[in-house]
Amino acid sequence: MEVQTRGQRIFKYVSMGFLLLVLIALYAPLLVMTSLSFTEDQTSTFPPTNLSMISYEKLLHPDRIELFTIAGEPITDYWGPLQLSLLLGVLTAVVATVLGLAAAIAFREQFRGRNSLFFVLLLGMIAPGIVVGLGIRLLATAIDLEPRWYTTGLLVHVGWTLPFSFVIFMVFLNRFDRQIEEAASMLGATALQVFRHVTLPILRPAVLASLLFGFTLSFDELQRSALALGQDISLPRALVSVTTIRVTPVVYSLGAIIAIASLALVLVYLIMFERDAKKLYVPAAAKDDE
Amino acid sequence: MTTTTTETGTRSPSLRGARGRKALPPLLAWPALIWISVSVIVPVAFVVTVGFWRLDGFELVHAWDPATYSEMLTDSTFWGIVWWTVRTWLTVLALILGIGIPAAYFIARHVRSLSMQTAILMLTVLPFWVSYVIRIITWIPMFGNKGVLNGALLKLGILDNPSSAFLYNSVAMTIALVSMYIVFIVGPVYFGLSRIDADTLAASRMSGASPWTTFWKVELPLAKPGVVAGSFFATVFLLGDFATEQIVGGATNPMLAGLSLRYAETLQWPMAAAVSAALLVIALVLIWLLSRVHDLRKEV
Repeated sequence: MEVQTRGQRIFKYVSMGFLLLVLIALYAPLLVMTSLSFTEDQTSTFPPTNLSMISYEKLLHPDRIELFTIAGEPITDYWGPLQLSLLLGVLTAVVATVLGLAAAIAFREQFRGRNSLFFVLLLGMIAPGIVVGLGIRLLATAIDLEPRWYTTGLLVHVGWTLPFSFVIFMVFLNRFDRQIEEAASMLGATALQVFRHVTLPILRPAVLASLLFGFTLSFDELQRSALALGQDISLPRALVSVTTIRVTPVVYSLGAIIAIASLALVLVYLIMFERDAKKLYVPAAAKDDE
Repeated sequence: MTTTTTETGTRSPSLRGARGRKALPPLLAWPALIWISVSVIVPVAFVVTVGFWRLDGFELVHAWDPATYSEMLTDSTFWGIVWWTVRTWLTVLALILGIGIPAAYFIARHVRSLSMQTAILMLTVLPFWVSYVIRIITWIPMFGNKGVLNGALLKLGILDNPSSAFLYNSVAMTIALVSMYIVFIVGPVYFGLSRIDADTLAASRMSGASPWTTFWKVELPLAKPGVVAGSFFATVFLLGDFATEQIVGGATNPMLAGLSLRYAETLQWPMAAAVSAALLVIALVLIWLLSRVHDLRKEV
């Protein structure tokens, strides 16, 4: 590997170019957007001039009309949609995690039709979002159920994220040594105690991953929400409808805050995962070495 | 196989397997199965059904009337949109694979330390966690009239006046889609490539294979599960995507998802349902094609 031929060098630099392209395509737009959130200029001019924090102020105080001095600038209150999306995200994450964990534990057994039912549980991630959203909307109308975020909304959001939770738990349980559970039950622990004190603590990283996936997928969900939420406006829906009027620095400041908050959330998860991995898996591995 | 400890409490290991397969899935699986049935299977089946219903004024009337489907299938605009959807899928998939695979290759083969590899890989995956509507919006200041691209071209003297030709068209839409869905490719392909051991590569090199041949004949086939898994997710997300077209694509050239939504928003429910049913068929065909390349069920 040390002696590189010309072909290898070409390969190396070309593939490096592609990696740079990926990183630029992923991060340049986010950085440009963030830089434009620090200006009052409504025309999305890059590089930004007249730097100020006013769009953040407008975002925090949509009721203070005197801040919106630019002709034709749309005033949008994002707090309602944001609260709705946060609430729906948390609820979705919790329900999907509980159902996904229960199903994954059940799928450790063999039973008739196991493979087909496994596939059935994955359907939620395969069905195109728009079809599911339209279907639930039509169903709700047919049975006189009002489509709201806490009825049809929660239903399809969990249907969407549950397969992810299920797969996460399946992957973790595949590596799970069941003798640990057997040992606990032979020592007299009840089924519930085994779950509470043995299975669950070991699955903690999976639970956190499942909650993180459930929350983020629901928080960003648009394809199903477009029709499934009825009159309720989630944050992605509010953002889409705002872009049909005019994209202002207030949108960019909201985008920047959400981007930074999301990345922080993932980083916190990774740090916790790392800590759990050290605590739970390293001692066992060290023992094997003896 | 093993029986549950959770269900039966203490059961001596010697009894294991004696009971054989159970007839019904364990109780714990039922809530999830029921939830998926109610929230996914029934609605999707219902969409196909409503495609046969009739609209009487604003009232949906139960019927088995193939009129909506036949109207859709004989409409050349519809077939144009089908082709446009498939073409966008092909273009985006070709681009994310064409860019994502070499990028993953570089991380796996040319970044020396494992921690550095992990760090770069994290960078390529992290944007998945940022709201996708916001990531679409970020392309407006990139391509807009006074955006980054125009600014750069003006500075370089290539343009004399800012051009509005870069935003609100299918090229802008394609670029935004590529940046959105490339996050699904780099990670899985990297994992495939990094599992190939050095001896395999050395063997290929010593038999006189060029880097290109080694990549094409040895590494890519071994990374195939990752390629297919990433393509699968990109396909599923892409086919349901209407927002990218609305926000940066000009909102005049919808794909099937956008078409169905537009019919729904104008309360033409049977046509919305028929178009959605068509989208479902296309999704199933494309996923089937991907599974012909590699059956992902082998991986679970």
